[in-house]
Amino acid sequence: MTMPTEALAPAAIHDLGYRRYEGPRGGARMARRALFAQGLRALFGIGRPARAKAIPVLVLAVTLLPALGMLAAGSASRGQIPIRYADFISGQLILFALFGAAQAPELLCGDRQHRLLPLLLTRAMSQADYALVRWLAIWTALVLVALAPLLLLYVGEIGIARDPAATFRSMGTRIGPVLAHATLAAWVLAGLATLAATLTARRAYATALTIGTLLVLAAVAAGLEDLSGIPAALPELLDPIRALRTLAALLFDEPTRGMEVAPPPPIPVFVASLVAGGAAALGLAWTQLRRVVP
Amino acid sequence: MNVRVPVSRGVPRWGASARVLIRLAWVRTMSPLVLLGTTGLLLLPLLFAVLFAAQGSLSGDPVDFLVRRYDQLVGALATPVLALLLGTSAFSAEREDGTLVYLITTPTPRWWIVTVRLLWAGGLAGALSSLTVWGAGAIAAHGSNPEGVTSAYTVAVFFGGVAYAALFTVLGLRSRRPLVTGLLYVLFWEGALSGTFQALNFLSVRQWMLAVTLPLTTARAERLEGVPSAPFALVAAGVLLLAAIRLGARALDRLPAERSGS
Amino acid sequence: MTRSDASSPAPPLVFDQVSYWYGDLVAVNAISATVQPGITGLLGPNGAGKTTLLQLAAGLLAPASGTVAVYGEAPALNPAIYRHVALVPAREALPGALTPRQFVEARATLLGLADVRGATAAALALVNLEREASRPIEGFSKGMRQRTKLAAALVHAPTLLLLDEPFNGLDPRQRMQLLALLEARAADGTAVLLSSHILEEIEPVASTMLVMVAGRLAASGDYRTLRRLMTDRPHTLRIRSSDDRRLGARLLSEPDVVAVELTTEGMLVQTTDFTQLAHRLAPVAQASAVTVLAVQPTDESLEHVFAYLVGDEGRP
Repeated sequence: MTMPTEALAPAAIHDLGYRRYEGPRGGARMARRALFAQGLRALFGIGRPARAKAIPVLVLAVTLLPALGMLAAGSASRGQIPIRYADFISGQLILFALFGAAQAPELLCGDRQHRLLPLLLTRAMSQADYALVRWLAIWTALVLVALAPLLLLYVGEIGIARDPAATFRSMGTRIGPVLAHATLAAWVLAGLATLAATLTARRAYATALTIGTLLVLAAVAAGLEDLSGIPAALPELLDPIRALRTLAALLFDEPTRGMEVAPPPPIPVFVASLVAGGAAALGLAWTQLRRVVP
Repeated sequence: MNVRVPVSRGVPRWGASARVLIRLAWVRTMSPLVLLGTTGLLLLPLLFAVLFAAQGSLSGDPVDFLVRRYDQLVGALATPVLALLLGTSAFSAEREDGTLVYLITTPTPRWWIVTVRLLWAGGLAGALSSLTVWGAGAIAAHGSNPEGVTSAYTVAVFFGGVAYAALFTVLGLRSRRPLVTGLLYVLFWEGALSGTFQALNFLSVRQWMLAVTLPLTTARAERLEGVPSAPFALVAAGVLLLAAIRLGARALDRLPAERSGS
Repeated sequence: MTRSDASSPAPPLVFDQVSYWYGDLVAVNAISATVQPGITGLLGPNGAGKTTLLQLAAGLLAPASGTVAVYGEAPALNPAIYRHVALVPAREALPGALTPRQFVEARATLLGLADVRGATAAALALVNLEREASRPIEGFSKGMRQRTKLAAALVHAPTLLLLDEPFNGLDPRQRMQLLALLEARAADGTAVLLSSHILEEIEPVASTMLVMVAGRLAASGDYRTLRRLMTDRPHTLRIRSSDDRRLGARLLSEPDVVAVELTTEGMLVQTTDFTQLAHRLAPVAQASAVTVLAVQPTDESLEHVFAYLVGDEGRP
C-alpha cells in the first residue's frame, strides 16, 4: 500500500528555459557581411542539397570546358590557332545571363516564400542594407561566373606558350579588358535579374521574365535594324547581349566582318549605355526591395 | 438533415466540364504580370508596322519587312511565349499546390482534361498571334496582303500556337520547372542548336510553323535549304498533338505524391 | 437508403498485404485491413505512412505490392470509382479566386452530376457555408477552407469518404460540428476513414481503429478491446467507496491485484486481470461491509493504448 507523498521541501520553479545572450554583439557591419556571405553561398548552391547545385555546376562546366578546349587546340597547334576572346565571350554571354536569371530568384523570391524577411529585418539590418547586400551578392556571383573562363583563357594562354615571358609581354595587358568586360557584363545582367526577381514571388516567373526580356530586346534590336530613319547606334545598344558582344570585339581588338562594314559606336558610348542600363534596372529593383515589409 | 441527391448521369458532361476546366485554368494563369507581358508581346509587331508605315516610300519592300518581322517577333517570340504561358501555368501551379487532386479524383477522362486545356491554350495563343499578324500586315501594307504574306502567316501562327501549346502542356504536366525548360527549348533547341545542326530543323516547332507558309506564299521561297516541307510539318504536328495528349493523360494517372511525412 | 454498391457483397475498402515505397523509404509495409461502413480512425505519429495509405485507397498511387480493393475493384487507374469515393486531402490550397459555390459546382460538374446547382446547394448547407458561399476563397480562415474542401468532397454523396487530417486547424466548436457531420454520414451507411495524429480528436467517434507506426499496422480494432488484449500491462481502476482503506486492504489480498493507491479522489487499483476483478469486486465489498460508490477504468483511453503501441514497436 503506497501513501500519497507530500512535498517535503518548499516548492520552487527553476527557470531553465530561454536565456538571454549578454556577450558582445557584431553590429550592422557583421550583419551585412554575414548576409553577403550567405547570399553568395546560396547562389552557388554551397551548403545546399545537390539539386540546388545543378544550375551553378552546369553553367560553370559549360563555360569552362570550351575554354579548356580552346587552350588544348591552341597548345596542340603550337600557337597557330589563336585564342580569340571576343568569339568566346560571344557564345558564353547567354550562359552568364542564364545563371543570373535562374539564381537571383532563388535568393530573392526564396526570401519572400520562406518568410526570411521578418527574421532579417528585425535584426541590426535595415531594408536598404538588405537590398544592397542582396544585389551585391548577385553581382559578385555573376562577376565570378563571367571571370572564371576568361581568367582560365588568360592564364592558360600564357601557360601553354613556348615562351611565357614573351607572350606575357605581348598580351599581358589583356587582363584589363578581361576584368572590365566581366565586371560590366555582370553589372548589366545582375541588374536585370535582380529587377525581375523583385517583381514576382514565383521563381519560375522571375527566371522567365529575365530570359523573356532579353529575347524581346534582341528581337526588337534586330527589327530596328531594317527600319530607315532609326539612328544606327540604337539597335547596337538596345540589346544588352549584343552590346556586350560588340564591346568585347572592340576591347580585344577582334573586329568582325559586320563591324568593318558598319563601324559601331566607340567604346565609351557602349560603356556608358551599359552602365546606365544596369543602373536603371538596379534603381527600379531598389525601389521595390526597399519597400519590403517583414 | 441528410439529403441524398441523385448522382451521376453515367457519362461525362463534355461541354460543361470543358467550361469548368477552362475557367480553372484561366483563374490560375491570369495575373497582372502575365497580362502586361502578353499585351506587350502582341503590340510589338504592331508598333513596328506603324513605324514602317510612317516612313512611307522610304521604307522599302513591305513583303520583305513583314516576313522578317513575322519571323522574328511573332513566330520566334510572341507565339511560343504565349503558348508557354498559357500551356504551363495552370497545370504546373495545380501540381505545385496540390489542387490538381480535385481534378483527378473525378470520373472525367484524363485525356479529356488534357485535350481541353491544350486546345484552349493553343487556340488562344494562336488566335491572338493571328490577330497581331493580320493587324501588322494591315498597317504596314495598307491592307493589300502582298504575295499573300499576311494571310499565309495568319494561318501559320495559329497552327504554330496549337503545336507549341501541345508541347508546352505536356511539359507543364511532366517537368519540374516547365517554364524555364520551355524557354530553354526556344532559346537553345530552336535557336542556337538549330543554327548549328540543320537536322534539328525537322524537330523544331518553329520550322514546322514556317513550313506551313510555303504553299501559301511565295515570299520565302529563296532562302530555304534543309527545312521541312508543309506536309511533313502537318504530320509531325499531328503526331506531337496525339503524343502530348497520351503522355499528359498518363501523367495525370500517376500523381506524383509528395512525401509530406505522414 | 444506401447506394446499391454499398450493399453489394464487396466491402468498401480492403487492403491486402499492401506495400508502397519511395526509393529506399518504405512508407507502407504489408498492411492488411478492411474498412466497413462507419467511422474508422487511422492513427499514427507523423511519418507513419497515413497519407500514403489514404492515397493508395483513393487510387492516386498504385501499390508496389499487394492489392487495394474499393468495392471489389482496384482504385488505381480507375476513374470510375470516383462516383462513390471522395478524398479530402490534407493540403490547404484551393483556387483562391473562386467562391466556394463556384468551386463546388466545378467539382460537381467534373463528377458528372445531373443537378449541379442542387447538389452544390445541399453540400454547402451540410457544412454550414451558405452565408459565405459567394466570397472568394482566398480570404478564408482555415476552418472555412476545411469546410469548403468537405463540401467539395460530399457534393456527390460518396459512400467511401477518405479524410486526411481533417481536424487540422479547427477550433473545438468546429471540430464538434465536423464530428457530428461525419457521424451522421456514418449512420447513413457511408464508410469514413479519417487520419489523425491527435488522439483526443478521434476518441469520441471512431469505433474501429487502425494504428500505424513506421509503415506497419501496429493494431486494429476497437480500442477498448485492444486495451483488454494487452494483458501484460496492468489495468488501473478508480474506485470510490464508503471506506477506501478497508476495501483496499481486502483487495490487496486478491491474487491478481498488483497495487492499491489511496488518493483524495478515491482509490486506484492496479490489476493484471480486469475481468476477474470485475467479478470479485462485489463479493469482496460485501464481505467487508463497504459500499462501492463508483468504479471507473482510468487508462482505457486511446492515449494509453497508443503509448503502449508506439513505445514497444516489436509487439504485435
